[in-house]
Order: sequence, then C-alpha cells, then structure tokens
Amino acid sequence: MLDVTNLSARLGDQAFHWQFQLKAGELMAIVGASGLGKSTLLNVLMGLQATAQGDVNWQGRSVMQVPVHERPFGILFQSHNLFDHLSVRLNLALGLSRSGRLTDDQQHQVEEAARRFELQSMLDRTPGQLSGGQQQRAALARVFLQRKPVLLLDEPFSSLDPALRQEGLDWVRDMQTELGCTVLLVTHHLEEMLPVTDRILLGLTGQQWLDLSVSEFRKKRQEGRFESLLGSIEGR
Amino acid sequence: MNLPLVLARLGTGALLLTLVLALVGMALHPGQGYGWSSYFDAWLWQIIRFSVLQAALSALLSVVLALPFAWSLAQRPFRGQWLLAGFLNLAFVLPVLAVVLGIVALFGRQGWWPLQTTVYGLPGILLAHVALNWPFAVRLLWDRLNQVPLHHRRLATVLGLSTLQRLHRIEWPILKTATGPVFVLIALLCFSSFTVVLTLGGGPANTNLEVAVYQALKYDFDARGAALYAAFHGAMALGLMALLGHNKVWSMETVAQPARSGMQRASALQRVAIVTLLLTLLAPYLALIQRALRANWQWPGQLNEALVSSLGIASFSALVAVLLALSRCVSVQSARRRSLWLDFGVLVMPAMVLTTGLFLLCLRLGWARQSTWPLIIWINALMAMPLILQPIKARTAAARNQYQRLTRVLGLSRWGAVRFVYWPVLWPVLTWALALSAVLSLGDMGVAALVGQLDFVTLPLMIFRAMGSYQMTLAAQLMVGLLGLCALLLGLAEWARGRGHA
Repeated sequence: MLDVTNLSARLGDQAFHWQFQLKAGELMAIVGASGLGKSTLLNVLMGLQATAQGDVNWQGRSVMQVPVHERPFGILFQSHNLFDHLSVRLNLALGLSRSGRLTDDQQHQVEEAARRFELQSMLDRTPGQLSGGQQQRAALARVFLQRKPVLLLDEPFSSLDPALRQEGLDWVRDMQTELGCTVLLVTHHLEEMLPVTDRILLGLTGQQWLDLSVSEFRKKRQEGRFESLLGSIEGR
Repeated sequence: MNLPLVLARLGTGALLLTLVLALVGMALHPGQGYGWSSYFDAWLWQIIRFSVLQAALSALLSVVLALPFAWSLAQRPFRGQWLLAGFLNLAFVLPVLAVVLGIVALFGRQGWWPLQTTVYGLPGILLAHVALNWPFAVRLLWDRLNQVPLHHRRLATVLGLSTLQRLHRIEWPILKTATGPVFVLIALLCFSSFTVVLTLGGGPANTNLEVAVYQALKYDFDARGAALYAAFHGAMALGLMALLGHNKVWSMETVAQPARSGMQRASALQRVAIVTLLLTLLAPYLALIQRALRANWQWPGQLNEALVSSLGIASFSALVAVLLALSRCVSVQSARRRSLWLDFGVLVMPAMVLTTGLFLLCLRLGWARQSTWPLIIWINALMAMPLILQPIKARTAAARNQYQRLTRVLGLSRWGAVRFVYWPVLWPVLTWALALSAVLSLGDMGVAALVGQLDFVTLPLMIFRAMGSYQMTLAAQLMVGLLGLCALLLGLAEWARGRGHA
C-alpha cells in the first residue's frame, strides 16, 4: 500500500497539499489543469523536491529519509530520461549497476529487457538515433531493469502521437502485469486512461485533490460534475 | 567534503591571491629608483596620453571599419559562414608578432607597399591594431546582428521594407547598443597592447604604459618606476572595465552555426564583403610567408632550446588554464556576479600589471631566476582562462540541467557522474580549450620578455631578438614555423569542436 499522508510542498509562492492511498498493484491516473502540482507530486515522492511536511509510506515504512535512488520508486520524466551521449546498452546497464559494469547475469538481463521492449537492434545506438517512441521505450526498459515496486510516470508519452501513446501505455500495462508494480501516471489524456486505470487523483486546486475509483468518477461525471474542469484538461 | 566546492574555492583563492600578491609586489618593490616626485613629470603624462590616444584611435578605426562588413554578413545566413567566423577568430588568437612582421613586410621600406612615412610609429601601431581587432569587431557585431529574431526579418520582407528601412528599424537599434561595448572592449585590449607598441613604436615618443614598465625594469633597473607605471595602468584599465560594465560582448565560441542544408549562397554584397575581408586579413600573412621564402631556411642554434621552452610552457599553461576554468564551473555558486567579475577582471587587468607585481615580489624574495617558468605559465593560463571559460561553463551547466535529476534517480556517485555525464559531454570542449590556450601561450611575448633572464628564450622572444638585430628574413622564417605549430593546434581545436557538435 502506498500511503500519502498530509503531504505538502511549496514551489515559489505556490503551496500544494496531497493525501491519498493506493493499493499495491493498482494504477492511478493523476489529472488536473496545468500548474496544479501533478509533476511536483511525483518529484516530491521521488525525493527530488523538498517536502514541507507530511509522510509517504510504502508497505508500512516511511520513505522520507531514504535517499532518492534507494526509494522504492522508478520514475520516467517527460524528457531527458536517457543520457544522450551514451549507448542505449549503457543507459540500460545504469539501471542495474551504478558503475555501468555488469556481471554475465546482468548482461543477460539487459539483453532480455532489450528483447522484451524490442530494442535488440538498437542497443549500440545513442538515443539521438532513435525515434521519440523508441527513446521512451528504452527509458521504460531501464526502469523495468531497476525492478522498483512503484512506477512514477510524468507524462512520458505526451509528446507522442495517439497511436504511439497507446503503445506506450500497453508497454506500461504489460510491465505492471509482469512485475506486479504500482503505477502513478500523470496524464492529460484521461479518456485514453479510463479503460486501464484503477483510481483517479483529480486536482481541483493545488491543495484540493479528489481520490476516486473509476466507477465513482464515471458516476460523478454523469451527474455533470467536472465538465469544465475536464474540458480544460483535455483541451490543454 | 564537497569536492566541487573545494575546487571552486581553490580556483577563487588562486585568482584572489594573484591579485593580492601582485599588489603586494608592487608595494614592496625592491626599492631601487628615484624620488617619487620625479616620476610625475611630462614623460608620465606623455605616455598616458599616448596610451589613451592609440587605444582610442585603434578602437575607433576597428569598429567603424567593422560596421559595414558585419552588416552585410548578417543580411542572410550563407553557406560556409562558420568557416569565415572561425577565420575571424584566428586573427585574435594567432601570435601578435605575426601581424607585426606582416605589417612590416607589407608597409615597411622593403615591403609590398612602402608607406610614405616610416611604418614605425603611430601609423604602424594603428595598422597592426586594426589588423588584429577589426576582424574581432566584425565577428562581435555580426554575432549581435545574428540575434535579430528570424520572424523580424520575415516580417520586414512581408512588409516590403527596403534595405535602408530595415537598417533603420531593425538592425541599427541593435548595432547602436552593441557598438559602445565593442569599442570599449577593443580600446581596453589596445590600451594593454605590449608587443605591437614595443616592436612598432619606433622610439620613446611612442611609448605606452606597458612598454614603459618593461623599459623601466629591463633597461633602467628602476623597480619603483615599473611599479608606478603598472599601478597607473591597472587603475586606468579598471576604469575602462567599469565603463564596459557587465556587457558580456565576447566569447571565443562563434554564434554562427555550422553549414545547414537550408542555407543559401552568399549574396553579391556578401561575396564582396567576404573577399575584401579575406584579402585584407590574409595580406600580412602572405607578405610574411613571401619574406620567409626569400632565403634558404635556417635552423639557428638556439632554436631547439626555444622550441622546448615554448612547447613546455604552452603545455603547462594550457593545462593550468583548463583546470582553472573547470574550477570556476564545478560549483553552481560560481555563477554569482562577484565571481564573474573576478573571472573577467583577470582578463581586463593587464597581464603586464599582474606580471610586474608578481615579478617584483619574486625579485624581492630573490627568486627571479627560479620563478621564470612558473610565472610565465601562471600568467599565460590566467590570460587564456576567461576566453575558454564561457563554453566550458555553458556545457557544464547544460549537462547539469539536463541530467542532474536522472543522475540522482540512478544514484550515480560523484565519480559516476563525472564518468557518465560530464566527461563525455565535456571532453570535446576541454580539448578545444587546451588547444586554444596552448596557441595563446605559444604566441605570448610580453610576459616572457618581462620575466625571462637574458639567457631565457622562447620562439617569440627569439623572433623579437632577430627583428632587433634586423634579421627580418630569419624572423619571418621562425614566425612561419610558429604559425605552423599554431595551425596544428587550431586544427586539433576545430576537430574537437566538431566532435562536440556531432
């Protein structure tokens, strides 16, 4: 269980506050207008941004004092997920070993991940030689290799066209099924997410978030709630 | 321990210590000299007047001549403009003595176009300063004009503005703000000119403060006079720097981009400008080569020793310059304004002032002979550092901005970050910086002339001594050799820069 309790942070003169729970293995879509703190939430969970107060527990243990790379979270940003000057192979290797030196077993894991994410023929290329979709797939493969139980996705496929976006989402779902990981995914494309998401964290303001199941969300939407809000999100 | 911070503090400390020790050296000069009042005479005012006059005239001519060229080059991007920009940089980094010899070969008594008057004196100084700084001014102003947003140019075309209207509405406002700082920067460089004034001055009437320091130390053994002239020089240079303010008008990395497929051929006007620029800039070098070819090539006895000194000093000072520049980049705190002032303060503070102060201190301590190499290496590194700093800083900052999050997420250690992030990104620019610093050091004559003992020799010193004994052909031959070395290093720099862009 991921338990976010009274978590707050400041970014310039903006204040944010979050509180929600997510069961292990579930997928939560985080939606809201720009500037509400969706990416900030992921950065705070990851430890990349300071927290004013509150606590984050994973499986009953607080992660607040845990160094960034030892937290149970893997993250994909909108961009800059790979070192552009290193080969895809080395980028993947860094998910397993901080020195980049791999044992035979780890090398096998890299090859396996490359096969799984259809990157075999691209291992010795640099990210600049891949398409946008392939780059994000390589980044996903590295997160896969890290075997983190929680996956934080900050609109990693937003710059791709709808077909590739759907493909990226499929990769995430496959990975979730295989590893049983919990996923928090920031998105502006809620309609595409509804069939696969378990919960929705809907931002009304930076300090007011609704934690809803999909059925609760559908019901409220049928009642005409969130109409303008969702319009502004999708039409961003 | 925060290693980047320690490195940054070491760099700052070394720079501050240099400034402080130079001041201490001037204050504690060995004491030889005349009564203080005897220095404030007509001679002092004459050299101050001449220092200012030649600097102002040189800067004025360079900027005025640069304006039409920069304007025509900026009319539209053209194929090969990066090559031209690189060529314009060359004049700034190649040994000053090469231009001096070229000017003599062009306008001297036995030159291609002998002047009615002698080339030695103000005309020669102005010609050499313009040859050195005019291309620099063209590049700076051209870079500024390249910053006109593309949509402004497109809009001007849509509105059907004539060339003059475009100049009036779009380009002139930019040129107007750029011309002042470029003028001051070039005046500052010419104010601190040593080699040109020493070799082309032609007598006491054309002495500036830098040459006065040299003469006081080397010919009159007048340490007090040297300290006083150096202090005057430093104060006036700082005044000029204050005029420049924080207008950052120069960087050795050109803004002009490598050729893109969408670029057009140069227009007729641009072609005229390019050919004129190239011919004018190449003429001194061509004349120099022609003079070198007049006689059989010679290999004087001292040449081996000079080569070893020059290459040794260039290698060490390039290494120190790059380490110093890196120390200015490794900490985010180095972006602070006071740090910028320190970095560029060292560029603006005339090398001769720093050298004089440090050398006087060494004299006082009895280390004059032992300090020759370390002093030349350190001062050459200080002179090169500000020129290589910006590109290194930009690459470091870009790598930091782009990869800092990822580095933290992956838990890379500091060593891991250096290995996987900074080294792969920085090595091309570091190689470029090493090569450029080495070229600058190879061409230095001023510091070596001031600090070196009679038996000390570098290539530029050897050339200077050959000129002094009227062996102009030998001087030209040695210079062609030196230019060859510089060309090799600059080729390496360009290759590294190409790798950086790849």
